[in-house]
Amino acid sequence: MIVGSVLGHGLLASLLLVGGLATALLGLEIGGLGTGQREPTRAFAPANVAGEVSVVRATPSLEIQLQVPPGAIPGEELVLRFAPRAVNEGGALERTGSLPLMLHQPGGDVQYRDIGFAPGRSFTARFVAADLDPALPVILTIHRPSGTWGLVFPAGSIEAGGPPELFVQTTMKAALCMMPLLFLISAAGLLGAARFNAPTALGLGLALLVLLAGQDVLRDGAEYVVRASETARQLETEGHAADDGREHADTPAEVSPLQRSLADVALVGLRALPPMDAFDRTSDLLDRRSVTPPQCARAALLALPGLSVLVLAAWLLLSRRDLLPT
Amino acid sequence: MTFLRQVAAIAELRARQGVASRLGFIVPFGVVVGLGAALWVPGVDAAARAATADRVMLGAMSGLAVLAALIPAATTIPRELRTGAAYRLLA
Repeated sequence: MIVGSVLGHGLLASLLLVGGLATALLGLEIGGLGTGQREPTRAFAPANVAGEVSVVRATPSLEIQLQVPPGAIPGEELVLRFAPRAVNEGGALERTGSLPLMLHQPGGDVQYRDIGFAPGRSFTARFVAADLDPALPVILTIHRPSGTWGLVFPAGSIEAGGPPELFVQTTMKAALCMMPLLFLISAAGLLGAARFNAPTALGLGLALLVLLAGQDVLRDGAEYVVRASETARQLETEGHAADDGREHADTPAEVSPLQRSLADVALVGLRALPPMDAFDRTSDLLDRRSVTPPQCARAALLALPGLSVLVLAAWLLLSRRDLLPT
Repeated sequence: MTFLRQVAAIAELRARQGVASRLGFIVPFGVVVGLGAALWVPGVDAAARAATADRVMLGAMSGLAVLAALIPAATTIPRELRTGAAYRLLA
């Protein structure tokens, strides 16, 4: 009964999610915020995989042979996303700069772009891809921006976008990633229902949801407690602890052994939780980044152990209850 | 094989119960969410408004789907245990 109930409730909720998202997209279209108002989503893949390169004063320009995803060229445009690390090389501090870029293929025309950037922020460059030949290498030349900032590009910090995808298609794939979470929540509700009454069962399901959604906050808190405890122990060992009885600015927060133990237990427990990002692909959609089938498969695989445990526990609890005939 | 048939029968029953309890309202309600988001979200340009509207739409529909997964799951079995219907299902 438990397995069937999880399947039934999970499937119905999944169908409602897909149907609801489809009609919500229709509503957006009717309201004037349709597909035309947003950039098409694309699958982005690392374009610089060879290792870290940089444009600094010592090496003011560099050439990279880009790995372009299949289907991106020839096309309407080749979209490149950059997430470099800015390095202050001295001089007047500027909040923004401009980065000269050149893209070409052997024997082809050179395309120039001057892209504005702010240190610490990613940026996008677009090139015309209609005349590019997929059989030839695509060479990107990056010049150092004038002014203070040099840029370091770690491997994978330049991404090339694949062919554009319909937003509705990406939304449906995001819904597919969300479905394992619906089965998990349904199983948590059933676990509570197998032993308790409806309000407790609801509370249990909501608690799991809150735990999944807030796990980053809990992890940050637990890590802070562990760090503070380690620092305090280190200071005590080195004999640098304050000896005048007053708190100093650099004195770490006081952590009791119980707090430290709870933080350790929380960190171990949180390791067993699947990350919420695996199910909730909202940030990808807002970043106009396509959701890939392996990401959906990963979400399903991450949910599987938890789902098995919840179903098994619910079955055990239900089998211990007395069922009375009507 | 019998186990799978039983699982499928219970799953179908749960889905039918969900439909009977008018959970299907979520689908047409999506139009209202999308339309409302498109008409009322703020933003400096269409792209910014589209991003906000997408966030609203995804958040609202995912939230409703989570409730549609949780509430029937948490309430059905206690009711069936109380009325004795669970005995007939497991028999």
